[in-house]
This record gives sequence, structure tokens and C-alpha cells, in this order.
Amino acid sequence: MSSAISKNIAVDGVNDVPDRPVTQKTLNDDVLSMVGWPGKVWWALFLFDLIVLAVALAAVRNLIVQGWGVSGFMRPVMWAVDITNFVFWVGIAHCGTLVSAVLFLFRSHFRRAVYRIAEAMTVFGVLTAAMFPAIHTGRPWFDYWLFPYPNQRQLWTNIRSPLEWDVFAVNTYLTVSSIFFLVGLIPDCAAARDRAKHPVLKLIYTIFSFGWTGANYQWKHFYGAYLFFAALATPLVFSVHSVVSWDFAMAQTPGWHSTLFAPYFVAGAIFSGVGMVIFLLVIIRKGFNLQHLVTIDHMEKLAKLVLLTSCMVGYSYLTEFFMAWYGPSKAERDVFWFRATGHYWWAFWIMFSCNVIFPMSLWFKPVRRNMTALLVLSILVNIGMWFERFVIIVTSLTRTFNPANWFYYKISITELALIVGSFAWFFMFFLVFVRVLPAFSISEIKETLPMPKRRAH
Amino acid sequence: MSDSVVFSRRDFLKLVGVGVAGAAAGCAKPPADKLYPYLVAPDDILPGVPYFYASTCRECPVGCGVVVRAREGRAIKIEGNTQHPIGQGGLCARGQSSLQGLYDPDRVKSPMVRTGTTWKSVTWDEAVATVGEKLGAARGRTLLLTGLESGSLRALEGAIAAAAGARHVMWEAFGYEAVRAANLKTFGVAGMPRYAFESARCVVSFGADFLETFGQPVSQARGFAAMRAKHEDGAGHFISVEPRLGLTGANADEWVAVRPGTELSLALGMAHVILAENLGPALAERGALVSAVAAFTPEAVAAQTDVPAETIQRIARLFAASKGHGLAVAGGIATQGANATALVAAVNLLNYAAGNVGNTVLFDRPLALDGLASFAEFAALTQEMADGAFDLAFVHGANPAYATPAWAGFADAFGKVGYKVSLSGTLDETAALCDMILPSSHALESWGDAQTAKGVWSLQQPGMRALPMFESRATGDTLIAVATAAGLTGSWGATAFDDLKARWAAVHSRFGNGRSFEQFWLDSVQAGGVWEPAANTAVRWTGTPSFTAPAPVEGEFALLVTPSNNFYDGRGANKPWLQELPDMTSKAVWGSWAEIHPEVAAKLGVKNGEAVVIETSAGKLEVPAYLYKGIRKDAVALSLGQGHSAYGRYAQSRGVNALALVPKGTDEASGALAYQGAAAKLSRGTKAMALYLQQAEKNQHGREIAQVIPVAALLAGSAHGNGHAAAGEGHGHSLGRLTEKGGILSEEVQQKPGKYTEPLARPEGYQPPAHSISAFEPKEKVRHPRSNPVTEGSYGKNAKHRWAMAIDLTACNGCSACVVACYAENNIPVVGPELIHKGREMAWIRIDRFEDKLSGGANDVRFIPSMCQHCSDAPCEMVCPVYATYHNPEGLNAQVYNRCVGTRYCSNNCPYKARAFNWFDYSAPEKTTFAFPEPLNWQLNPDVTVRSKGVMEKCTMCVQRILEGKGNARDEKRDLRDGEIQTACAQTCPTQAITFGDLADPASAVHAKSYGERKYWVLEELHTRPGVTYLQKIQRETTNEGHA
Repeated sequence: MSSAISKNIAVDGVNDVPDRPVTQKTLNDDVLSMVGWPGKVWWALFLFDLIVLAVALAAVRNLIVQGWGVSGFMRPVMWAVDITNFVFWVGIAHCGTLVSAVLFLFRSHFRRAVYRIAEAMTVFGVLTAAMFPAIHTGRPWFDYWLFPYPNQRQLWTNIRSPLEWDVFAVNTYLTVSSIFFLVGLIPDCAAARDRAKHPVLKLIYTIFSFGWTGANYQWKHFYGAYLFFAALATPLVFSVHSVVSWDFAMAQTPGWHSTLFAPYFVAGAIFSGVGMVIFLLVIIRKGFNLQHLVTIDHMEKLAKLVLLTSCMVGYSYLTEFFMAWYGPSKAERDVFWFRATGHYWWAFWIMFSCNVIFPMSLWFKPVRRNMTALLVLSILVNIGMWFERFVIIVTSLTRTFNPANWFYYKISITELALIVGSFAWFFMFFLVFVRVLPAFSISEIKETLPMPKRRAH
Repeated sequence: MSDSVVFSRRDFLKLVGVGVAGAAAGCAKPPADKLYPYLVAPDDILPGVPYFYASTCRECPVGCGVVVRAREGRAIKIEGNTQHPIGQGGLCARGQSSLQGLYDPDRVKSPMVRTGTTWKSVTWDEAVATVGEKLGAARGRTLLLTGLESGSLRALEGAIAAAAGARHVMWEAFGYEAVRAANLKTFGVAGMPRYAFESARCVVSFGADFLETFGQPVSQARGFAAMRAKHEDGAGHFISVEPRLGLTGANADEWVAVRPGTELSLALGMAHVILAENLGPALAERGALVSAVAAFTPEAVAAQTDVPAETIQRIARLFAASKGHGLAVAGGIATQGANATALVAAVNLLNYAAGNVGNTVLFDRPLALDGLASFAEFAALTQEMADGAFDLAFVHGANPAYATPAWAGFADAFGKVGYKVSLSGTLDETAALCDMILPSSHALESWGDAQTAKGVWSLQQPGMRALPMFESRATGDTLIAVATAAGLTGSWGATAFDDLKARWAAVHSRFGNGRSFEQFWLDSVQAGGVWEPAANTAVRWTGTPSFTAPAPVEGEFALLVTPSNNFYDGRGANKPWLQELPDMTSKAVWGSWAEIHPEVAAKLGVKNGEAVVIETSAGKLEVPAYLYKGIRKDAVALSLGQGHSAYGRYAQSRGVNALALVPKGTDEASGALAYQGAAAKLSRGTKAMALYLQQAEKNQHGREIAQVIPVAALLAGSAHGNGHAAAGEGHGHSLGRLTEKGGILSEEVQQKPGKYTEPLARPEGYQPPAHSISAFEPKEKVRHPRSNPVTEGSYGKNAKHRWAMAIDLTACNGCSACVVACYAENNIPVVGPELIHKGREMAWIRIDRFEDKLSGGANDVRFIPSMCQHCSDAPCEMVCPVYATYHNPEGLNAQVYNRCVGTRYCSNNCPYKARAFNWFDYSAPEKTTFAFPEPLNWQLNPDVTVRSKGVMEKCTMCVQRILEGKGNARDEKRDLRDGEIQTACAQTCPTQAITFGDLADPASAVHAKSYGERKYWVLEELHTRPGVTYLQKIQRETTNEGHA
């Protein structure tokens, strides 16, 4: 196998998927061997994850029982880590649909090796993100009031509110990305079903394979449906994060009120999402020895996507500063000056260096093909993108129009628990996912394999 | 039905006009018991209908007339009595908070006896018997130590003291000794004049905090605002001469930062200029005056005071230009220094030389201060106590154990008194030293009267029955019971109430006008007292003292211990509203701090909020530093009122008592304690300190939140505006024009019409449909609170009102009475220092302080009350996903608490940050965060929801009062009258800076102000179209010679 890897590197990324030593048989074996009773490492990770999650749940319990006063929130900074986490995880969730739907439509075949991971990340990312709007309210037990359901009190929701748009955008995205994820899983689950020995697992795969037999008409419908969902999901890549950005852009708070926000947020979301995909893939391909399935070439293409979006994000940062300087609003100018030099200067410079300066190293090919470098960069990108949202929310709210209200937000232990808890929540799903469902698309990778040779009659 | 109502129905009806609750308090007290709802309601109490009882505020010796608002037998709010000559309807923050004295959870629950350090509850009978026995035995060796008393209680105390052979001594921490002594010397009247600010054209204050504690602050604030509104012919100047700019001084046009203790020289220097240049009236005593001030040439004074000679000449000329309508006031800590009497005499001389006495310095309604002991007399009394002259002491209304410095030795001397009885309602420091406490009822639950000023007989009517959980008795009842137990006889009634009525026979004979006593009594009680028209007592110059130049303070820093606007002499410290109310100089809450100049702090290496050690010969204190540019570099200031060692949970262990730094020293001529001028040393502290600031940033950063308009621009503008109105435009002036004219907005670029912001050309007479109001409509139409889509569209088509407010920044002096009134009216929780410091203040109205110029000379400190602006295009309404905040048809931005989910988006989008979030459950009694511990919750206004955890809240423009007013009008089948509905803030404002009313009524006062000159909207460029219109503060140039 090691020779295969070295060979792949030598080939230098001409093929999308290595033709050797992957065969129909080894592919099934490789992918489906990930599924099954986990080992000690997995259990250790999972247990640690649950402990972290339990701590975070204790924090959430305090938030609900005692009130949001246990956080560091105050006037004027009434949102901080809650919405930062929300936007961060929605952003993470973006990459999956981009990789699976947009790249599918553009026939970028390198996606085949990575899209299952990216889609799973999308679904779990949205599940994580959706937690935060739900718990960040002062009275979470009334969150259902945000849904426009008929009620005898004749109360309705305010459709002018960007938060209401969020409700629809996030729910739409969760629905479509989940369907997309589950549809793509059908043939692979059928393969797993056929191999499964344990009756429970067999049942699970039977359910997820939806009666798949591999018949020709099933393949026909499957591809038809897949194309349809790809077309349906593509606009969502742009709409969801645009809507999320309008939470800010529609407000008149200086530092938020900008028409740039929608494209800026979409680029940032893809940036962080691809970063997260790289992070997960580097670990999984190493952990499960799948370097021949997810090749260096695949990773390099993802790295190029990071470079592209990093440039877009960097351009947006500079545009914001330019517009603040060029525009008429003193409040806007002050808030941007404060952002770069004020009380939270460190957050700004973490954001700027992680998102714009460090990714510039990806202009160099050796960096793009070095897994350690990609791992470090992907972590930095995600730190940077978390801080981007933090900077946008907290620095803008800290310096609003009336200087009499300028107070500094100080993070509390509760919010730290929320941050690590969100990761624990995400990885809880993900850890289960890699052990239960095929993490790579067997059927799509098989499409690139040569047909089995048959003897002539 | 509750057995709390023990008198018969007949009696009940007789006393209806007097007030049910009041009558109950005046009669024998029923035992404390549980409360039951009315099953069979008394005929004359309607649930939900408030009753009003005229009474008198007893929070400070001034005694403003108040009206107690009671609901279902509980006093829930007090407000100024508009008919009363003292206060005239205004009420200060301390007065507003007296309700929290009534409902203080730490009030003494029953008579208590001390054994060692523990207190044991006893019955009233036992307690009275014990004390009566002691009183009988201590004939001639009894002391009755009280605060300043007047009226019937004073007479009763005098009578009992006479019968018992006791000595009655009245003492106040702020006793105005120097003012009384100097007036006796120069005018032959040992009283305090009334300063007629309303008649003045120029005011020079020598340290007088006349808007805070000095004199009659509420009435003075009203007069001061009237003076400041005059601008037509260069009138209305206010110059503050003090080493540290307090709240009063912050309102000045010019700050003369005089060297501490040399105010005297400056006053004489001004007098010298006036006399030398013959700027005043012709005076018979001119020769004596000239010789008295001969040594105080401007040059000599400049050397002593650190004020340039030109400045002295300029302000003297400006002062004299008022032609007998200038007003110089010496007060505050300037009259608590080593040469205090000389200073007041000098200021009297200045007033006299400028011809002001009789015009602005009047003796028509002075505070009644006769019989008040000076600090020196009090010190002598302390010595007598130490010598064992007394076997028994009663203390009432005075807390010398807290309010005198330790070196005065009160605690030790008091310990030498055989038996000490406190009549205090709370366990204050002096009560803690006593052997027995006989708790007195609060002023709001007991009968009484007061003659705090000449010609005014105020009645103090209980606003409710005495609180059942406290077995307290009226002071007079206690004294009578004790005297009876001691077997004393004299001319007093069987109860304090009888005694009061009996003593009012004399008032009846004078003011009865043929009415029966009962009728007269009823009328007087309903009105809050009787008063005669103010008649001035002419005074003449009786003696010119000889003045010597004050010696400079020896140390590096001069210590200034200032009275507190919040706590007075410390008696306000047990009221959480006052603790939570930001000090208007530093904006700090719940603690103590030392004000030092930033340059001094830089030298010491101390940052804002870090510990600084202040050391004088009397002691050493470590406090957080507040860096303040409004103090001289050679001075350090601390405020009085904090650092209690007892006095309840809200007062105890907060900050430090600044008296610990005051060294031995008095003004010899008057016996006043010297709060000012001790030599102090500063050094960097080591302790971790907390300075809880409610507003950290005091620079406007050019945002033009609080705006000013120079007098010249105003005069030019009003001429322009009048001409425009005459042309028949009918729109008033547009805000845009005003800002262009006055150059008010610094961001000119936003005011310029651009390619896409030019008004659209429309045919003549075009009326835009209501739904099409947009940025393309002419400004005059769009920026008009009434052209509000909501009130013009179908939604509010039947709406008759557009509620609005106009706030005059010229009148607002930052006194913060409105803030406390709002807490009282709207059930706003007090959250404590840590949460305030985190930015979790719950106040619905706050006063922002902006220091635009604060470095001596021309002074520009601006105060702006800030609350929900009730925008027509409210940013908060747009973003609420559940319509918890919405626009009501009458223009109010309403908040529906039970619909609020708590996304807090509204606050993030509010440019005024007027919204407060319930971070914790302040309303749940079972939680530790409960903000209204029993019986503070008795004060809650039943008309206002107590908000629960997780909801947003904000100013409602007192919607409950609007509904009440509308309901009353409907019941009487009439239209609402302008001014009939007043918000709590507008009602209490001593200067009437806040006008509330209906903008849809073109005849309303708020309409006139909202469309008059000086109007502007805060952050107008955001196009929120607020319902709150501000009137720019009139700014005067004093450093400009030609202008004077």
C-alpha cells in the first residue's frame, strides 16, 4: 500500500481517483471496514466527547434555570458567543452542500472522494448551529413562537425580522441537506446491508437503503433524484449564509450595516467549511489508512479552494475598512478603527492573520501537498473564522452610536463551555457517523474504476 | 375581612377625606397580623383606584410638600405637591426614595434591649416601663438629642424635656453654622436667606451645591432653570468658583478653579473690582466696605487664588452688569472650612456691594434653622457626656456616631451616658450604641407637621397604616408614653395625634378665617398644610468684618470632603435606589472613590479604578481612584455618605466614610466642622479595588448626542424662524434647517442633498398617500413625528393621540430625580454593583454625562436624560421576530412582556441602547436574585407588570398613567386636558425639563416645544423619527470679554 501512495504522489494528480490498487473488491472492503464495532481509541474519544458535552449541558441548564445572567453578556453586547457559534457552525455546514451539489453540477470529479464526509459535516454542522438560536433566547421554552403556526391567540410572527428569515433559512437548509445526504447514502447502505451480520445493524442499513436492489430502474431514478436535489441545494449554498449575514446587515449598528455582508459571509462560510473538511479528511485518511482513496491530489484541490476563499475574505475585510473610511459615518469609522486597535485588537489580529495571512502560504505547492501543513492551516482557518464572527458581533456592539453605552464584554466560563460543547456535540455525531455509515461514497468512487474485465464467450 | 380595620364604619366615613390608612395609623395600633383580601370591601375603597394623601417629605431638613399615592392601602409612590410653596411639585431623588425607608426590610421590628452585643426583642409595655422608670430617676440628667425638629413634635419634645428637666439638643451634620454666623454678623439675622435664582441674571457660586444638598435644592433648581432659560440680553450666566467641579458646578458656563480654601479672597477680589470701579449701587456703608476689601486687589487675589487677575475683573464686571440681579452663593464644602464664616461674610459683602440683597438674596422664606446646635456646641455636649453629665439619653433623627469624625469622641462619650435609648426606626450606628431601641414609625406612616421655612406650616399625613410587620410607634407617642410612665405631667395630648391637633389650634386661630377647627383641619390636611404669602424681611448691612487672606493648604494635596447628592449626610445610604443611582460626577454606584486629576494619577502610577491611599493627620483610607479632570491638581475629593458600619444590608460595608480623613479643625467663628482643606498625601494603593461605573465613557466622540446652541446662534435663529413662520409655511422649522443654521451636526456631509436624496418634484398641493412616506418625500413632511405611517395609515386611523416628550437640556441639571421616580413608578429592580459594572443596569431612564470641555475656564458638561425615544421608525420593532415590541396606534413603542422570547435583537439594533434585559429572575421571591425582599415588594406599583427572567423591558412613557388619564377623561365625558397626564419623570423633575403630552394636539405644551426653537432629535441621521424631542442646551461664552 505504501508503494501505491508513493506512486500516487509521483503521478502528481492527473487522475481524480487512483486506478490502482483500488478495485471493486478492495473499495468495498476499505470503506465498509470502517463500519463496525469500534476500537479503544474510538471509545476513548467518544467518552471524552461525552464528558465535555455533559459540562456544556450543565452550562446550558444554568442558562435556562438561572437566566442568561450567568454569561458575560450585558448591554450593549447582548449577543456574543451564542450567535458567534451559530454563524460559525452554519458556515461550517456550507462546505458540504458546496462540495456535493455545486461541484456535482460542475462535474468536478475530485468531489467523489470527499463529499460524503462533507455532507455529514453539513448535517451535523446545521444541527449544531441550530442549537444556538434555540438556547440563546431569554425564554427558550417559548422558542416555538418563532414558527408561524396557527393559534387561537391569532398571533403571528414578524416576517420583517431577519431572525424570522433565519428560522426559515436554517430549517430549509437542514431539511434539504439531510435529504441530500440520505439519498446519496442509499446504494452504499445497500452494500453495507448485504454484508452486515448483526441484526440491529442489518435493520439500520435496511432502513437507510430504502429497498435498494441495484436494479437498473433504481439507478435511473437515483441519478435523476440526485441531480434534482443538487440543483435544489445549490441556491441554498448562497441563500442561507446570505440570510444569516442579514441578521447583521439589516440592523443599523455600525460595523453591521453593510451591503457587502452576504457575499462576504458566503465566501467566509465556504472558507471555514473547506477548512473543516480538510481537518476531518487529514485525520480520517490517516486514521483509517485511506490515503489511496483520498489522495494528495484531492487534498490539494481542497487547499486551492481554501486559498481562493481566503483571498475573497481578505478582500472583504479590506473593503469594509475602505468603505468605513470612504463613507460618511463617523460611527462606522470609529468602530473599524476600534476593531483593529481597540480593546479587542487581539481578536481582530487573530482573525486577520489566521484567515488572510497564514493561508497565503497555500500559494506554494509543497505547502498544499503537505498534510501536516494542511492540518495546521485548517485549524488556524477555523480559529480565524470563529474570531471573525466574534469580531463582527462583539466589536460592533461594543461601539455603537452613543458613547455613554460603551462597555466591554468579558467572556465567562459559561460561554467557554458553550464553545467546547458545540464541538463536542458536533463530534459526537461525527464519531458515530464514521462507525455506522459508509464515510466514503462507494458507488460514486466505483464509477471512476475500470469495469471488471470479463472473458469473451 | 381583615380585622386590621378596627374602628367602626361611622368613624371610617368621618375620616374619609383624611384618608383611611392615615386614620388607622393615628389611632391605636392593631396587632400585626396577616393580610386578607377584601371580601366585603369598604364602601369608599375602590380596588384599582389610587388615593392621594398630601404630606411632607422628611428626608432632609427642607421638608418639601409631597403627595403620597396609595393603592389598596399601600403607599406606592410619592410625588411633589404642586400646591406647596416648598418644592412646588418637584421632588429630588432622595425624596422619591423615602418610600424605601418606609419599606426598608432592615427596619427594627420591635422594641429591643441590648445585652452585650446581642439584641433581644421586648414588648412595648416592658420597654416603656423600663425607660419610664429611668426617665423618672434621671431628673435633670437627661439628654434628648435629635435632628432638626420643627412644629408640634419640637414643641412636644420641648414640653416633655421641660417636665423631665431634660436638655433638648438639635444637631444636623449640615447645620449651615457658617451661613448663620456670617448673616448674623453682616445682616443681623442668624438665618439662612432664600436665594431667588429665578430673579437672578448672573449667578456666581462659591462651592455651593445648591442643586444637590445646600439650602432648598428643589426650589433652587427650579429658580436656577428659570434663570438659565433667559438668554435674550446676555443674562443667565453661571460661574462656579470651586476647586472641584461637583454636579452643580458642572452646569456652569465657566469654572474658576480656585485654590482650595481661597474662595474668600476671590469673593473679596470681585467686590474690590466692583467697589473700585463703582459698578454697584450707591451705598451708605461704602467706606467700610472699601476698607474691608482694600487689601484684596485683583493682583493680590490672583496670587492667592491661582486665578488670573483678568479673570477676576472680568467675572466681577459680568456680575455687576446684572445691576442688582446678580447672585453670589457660598455653600457646600466651601462653607465647611477653616475660614467658612469669613467666606460667607465676604460673599454677603459681594452681594451687598453689587446691590443684590433684597433682589436675589431674600429673607422672605428662609429655612428655619433656629436652635440648631453647631458642631462646636455638639462637641461641647460630647464633652459633657464624657464627663458623665447624663444618666439617660434619647436619640432621634440624628446619627452622630456615623456623621462625626472619630476624633470628636462621640462613641466613647456616649458610652458614658448611663442609659441610652434610640428612637430610630433602623439600626443605625448611633442606635447600635444604645441600650434600647424604641422604633419610631416612618414619616410616611405617621402624623406630624413641620415648619421648615418661614410662613409655611406643613402637615405630614400618613400615606398608609403603619406597616404591620414592624411594631413601631410614632415618635411623639413613644415620648408621651415614656413621660406618662415616668409620672411626668405637662401640657401635651394623650397621643401624638391629639397633641398635634391641639397645637394646631394656634394655627387655626391665625388662618381659620371663620372655619370650624375640624373644617380647617380637614382643609389643611388635604392641602398639605397652610402657608402665607412670602413677605421679605428687609435686612441692612450691620457690620463689616475684617478679612485676612487665607493661608494656603500646607500639604501637597488639599482634602475635599463633599456632601453627596445621593446620600445627603449618609442617611440615604440604606436605600437601594440611591445606591444604584449613579453619582452624577463620576457615574459610580454602590461605593466610594477618590477623585484625583489624571495628571496626578499618572504621577502616582494609578489607573482609573485602581487603589489610591489618602493619608491625612486624622487617618488613612484606601479607595479606588476616579480620574477626573474637573478637580485641581492640588486637591483630592471624597464624597460623604458611605462606609456605614451598621444601618442595614444596603448601607453596610459599602465604600468608606470620608470623615475618617477629616482632621480636628473647625471654623472658629461659627463652630462648623472643616470638611475642606486638610493637607493630604496620596500614594499608590496595593489592594484590588472595584469602582463600579455606570457610564465609563464621558466623551461624546463628536456624536452630538447632547447638543448645545450658542446664544448668538439662537438669537439669530429665532429671528429667522419667526420670519419663516410669518410666511405661512405652517410646518415650524425643519430640523434640517436648524442644523444647517446652527452648524450643530459635525457631519456636514450627511446633511448635503445628493443625487438620489433630493426631494422628488411634485405638483402643487400633492398629498402623498399614507403608505408611501419615504425618504424621497420632502424633509418637512417626512421628519415629522405625526406623519407616521402607523398613525396615518388604516391601523391607527382612529387614534387621537401621538404621545411625545420634549426634554429641555437647558433646564436639565443632572439631579437624577427622574431616574429614581422611574424606579419607583415602574417596579424597576435594583441589581447591585457587580451587575451594574457588567453593564446590566435596569434603569429605564438614565442621565448621560458628557464632558466636552472640563479643564477650567469655559466649561461644557452636558447632561442628557436618555430613555426609549419611542421612534416612529423604530429599529427595534423591525427586528423582533414575534412582535413583542410593536408600535401602538398612539405612537408609543410598546413592549409586550408576555410575548417576548428574549432574542435581545431589539437592544442590539437600538441606537439609543434604551432597553434593559432581565438577565436573572429579579421578580421571583424564591430566587437569590430577587430584587424586592419583603416588605420592599409592598411598594410595587400594581399597575405595572413585574418583569420575569428573560424578557426585555424599557420605558413605556408610563403607559399606565396614560390609560388612567384617558379613563378618567372618558368617565367624565370630556377630552383630555394638556398636562393632565404626566409621566413619573416629568412629574418629579424639579426644573420641569421634561414635558410630556400629545403631539397631535397643536395647543399642547409638548407640541410647542417639539416644533419650537432649539429642537433636535438625537441621532437624527438614522431616521428613527423619535417621539422624544430634545431642546438644545443654551451655551454662553463667558471667556469672551465683549460678550459680557
